[in-house]
Amino acid sequence: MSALTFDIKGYFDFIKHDRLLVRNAKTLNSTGISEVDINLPIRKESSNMCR
Amino acid sequence: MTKVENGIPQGSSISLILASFYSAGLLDLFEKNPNSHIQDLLLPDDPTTTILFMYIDDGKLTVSSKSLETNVKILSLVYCRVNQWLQKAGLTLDKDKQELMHYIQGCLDGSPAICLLEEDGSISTISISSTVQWLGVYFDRKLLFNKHVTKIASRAEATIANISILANTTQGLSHYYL
Repeated sequence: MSALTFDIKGYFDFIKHDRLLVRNAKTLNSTGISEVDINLPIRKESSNMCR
Repeated sequence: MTKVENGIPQGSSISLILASFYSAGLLDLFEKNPNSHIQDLLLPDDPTTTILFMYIDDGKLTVSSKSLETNVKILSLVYCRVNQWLQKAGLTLDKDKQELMHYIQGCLDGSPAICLLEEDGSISTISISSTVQWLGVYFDRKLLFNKHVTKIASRAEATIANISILANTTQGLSHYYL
């Protein structure tokens, strides 16, 4: 048996999450993902959240 | 440390659930039509269905056949399929975290490496390693886990040594805090 392991880059990089939610919104919709929750309100008070 | 304007904090338990939803389409792709990526090819050596395992952002593709060359060819094709899906979802694969392992009884000398077509058109070659690390476990070709045991044991010894320093009865922490 042969196995290839891989890692998705920056999967939890929510700092740049607009990369996922805005630019690719049309692509996501074409793959069947609903756009209902795309425009979630942005939290401004979460300055204590750190990666 | 970086100020975060939105999203959820690192380590949040909901991130696992969101990640599962997000990559569910990729797993569906393999479950509903596992051979779609190679069904037009007449491959020798009786290859099995290619299986995709995912744990959040860590993935593993496995296939078995009578030939390592066939395995490598299939994995390369399937990798392209995974890469295409991830691009549509706005994600990319980390080129520095790809590892190939052939689980065989014999020697790995002369075992084929794998050539992977990346999203930018470049080709990266992944050679065989003596062990691969996946989800914190070191796998070797015979599944003996010798390296894993050695690593974990040395880590435990280092932890015990650190605790020993803390437990110094004259200058260290009080036993009350240990």
